[in-house]
Formats: sequence, C-alpha cells, structure tokens
Amino acid sequence: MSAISEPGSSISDGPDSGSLPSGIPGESKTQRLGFTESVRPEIPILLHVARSYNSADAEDLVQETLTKAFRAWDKFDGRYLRAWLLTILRNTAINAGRKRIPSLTGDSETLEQQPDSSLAASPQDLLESNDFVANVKKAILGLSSHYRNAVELVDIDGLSYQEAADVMGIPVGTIMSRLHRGRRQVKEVLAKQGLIGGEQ
Amino acid sequence: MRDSGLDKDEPKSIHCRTAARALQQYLDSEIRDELLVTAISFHLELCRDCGMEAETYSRIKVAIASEGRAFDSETMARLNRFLDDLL
Repeated sequence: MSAISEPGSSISDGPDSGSLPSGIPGESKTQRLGFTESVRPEIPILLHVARSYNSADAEDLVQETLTKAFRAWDKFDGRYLRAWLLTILRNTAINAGRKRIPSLTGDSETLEQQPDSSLAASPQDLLESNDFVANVKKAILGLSSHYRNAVELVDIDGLSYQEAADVMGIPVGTIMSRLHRGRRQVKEVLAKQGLIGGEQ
Repeated sequence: MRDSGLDKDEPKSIHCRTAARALQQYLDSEIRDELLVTAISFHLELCRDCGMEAETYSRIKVAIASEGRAFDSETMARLNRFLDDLL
C-alpha cells in the first residue's frame, strides 16, 4: 500500500554517523545541488520526527539520514521525497536501536518559536484569539501520546496519513482513528471551556 | 480514501452522517473521490450544523499548526551547514 520507494540496501551499508562525505565521485554538481535544494525544506520535519526517537541525539539521527540520502540520491526515483527521507530516518533509528519516546513535542524551554509564515498571513489565523490557541495547545498536551503523535505529525508536520503511518510504523486506518479521536478530544475540552459550541 | 458510492446524476446529495464520517479526511485533503469532495463542500455550505462543525475543526487545525512549529535555530543552522558540507 505504501507508495514509498524503500531505500533498502542502498542505505543499509551507509556511512557511520560521524563521517562527513566529501562528495560522491561521478556525481554531477547539478545533481548534488538538486539534492540540497530539494532536501533542505524537509530538515525541520526530519528533526521533529527524529526527536520522537531520542531527543538527545536527534541531530545525529538527522545527519545520518542526510548522509545516507545523499549517497542514495542517484537511486531515488524523484517521487515522494518526504516519505523517502522519513523511511531512511526510521530505518536508521531502528537499526541503531533507538526507541520511540511518547511525544513528538520538543523541549519547549529550549526552543525558539518560529511561527509558520504561511499561516500567520492567513485571514483565518488572524481570527484566532490567543486564548483559543493557548487552550488548543493545552488540550493537545493533555492527549495520550498515541493521539498526540498522530495529531502532531499531520497538523504540525503536514504529513499525509500514509506518511504519518509509515513514520509510526502502523496502518493508515490506525492513524486516522487516532487523529480523529485526538481532535475530537481537543474539541470536547474547548467546548467545556466555552471556547466553541458543543456537540451537534 | 474511499469510494463514496454517490449517484453521478446527483453528486451533491449526501446526508449529515456521510458528511460527518468523511469530514476529517475532507479537511486533511485525503479524499481522492472528487464526487465526494464536491458533495461534502456543497453539504457544508447548506447545512448549518455540519458547516459549523467543519469550521470548528478547521480552527483547531490552524491553531495546532501555528502554535506547534518550534525549531531550535542553532540546531537548524548546524543541520543546514551539514547539508551544504555534503557537497
């Protein structure tokens, strides 16, 4: 069912995490520039997902992922880049014995907030009150980790259901179920606080 | 994601239950059946309760997204340099 082109053996013998490749012989400069241009926008999502395995070495995991992706770039079919990168990241994490931690939410005390500019400019966002957003955030933090992970992967990282399912290693139907239940619980919390209307 | 089984002659006629069942996938742009997408859009415009439900979930989605993006700028800078160094 997955549309992901599994990197498989092309990454299984990838470099050690600490090694920095100096370029691949035979690779054209155009190909390599294409790699950085394509992959750079995906780094925040890779980092976010990497934190779900182990926040302490999430950066190392992303670096390993970038290195392996770079080395396998000539084998990439050009489709579903994000899913391809997330598959490499997930395989790398699993091969290294990293275990998932309950939440994808980072350490908020050490993070610098960078609102998504595309959202900040939308008229709908302008209508959001600070109270509403703050209470949504509180409600998200109150969800069980299963529900919270699903909501964060789809609503924060913008992953498709299939991509989120691949990241979490669960069926798409399970992602849908967790996502919908998580959102419903958030809605119920907001309704109790009088921020929105109740159930239909 | 699913086959709506809608009548092609009346693609815009669905019940609240059908709209509610597909609402989350509709908001996430996960429905591939264009007839169902059209039918839900039409239903949400006409049905006040379903329209409000959709609006509520849209607001929640926007709030989550706007509040949830938090990146460590130093880490991001290091990773971007790492990517550049791959060349």
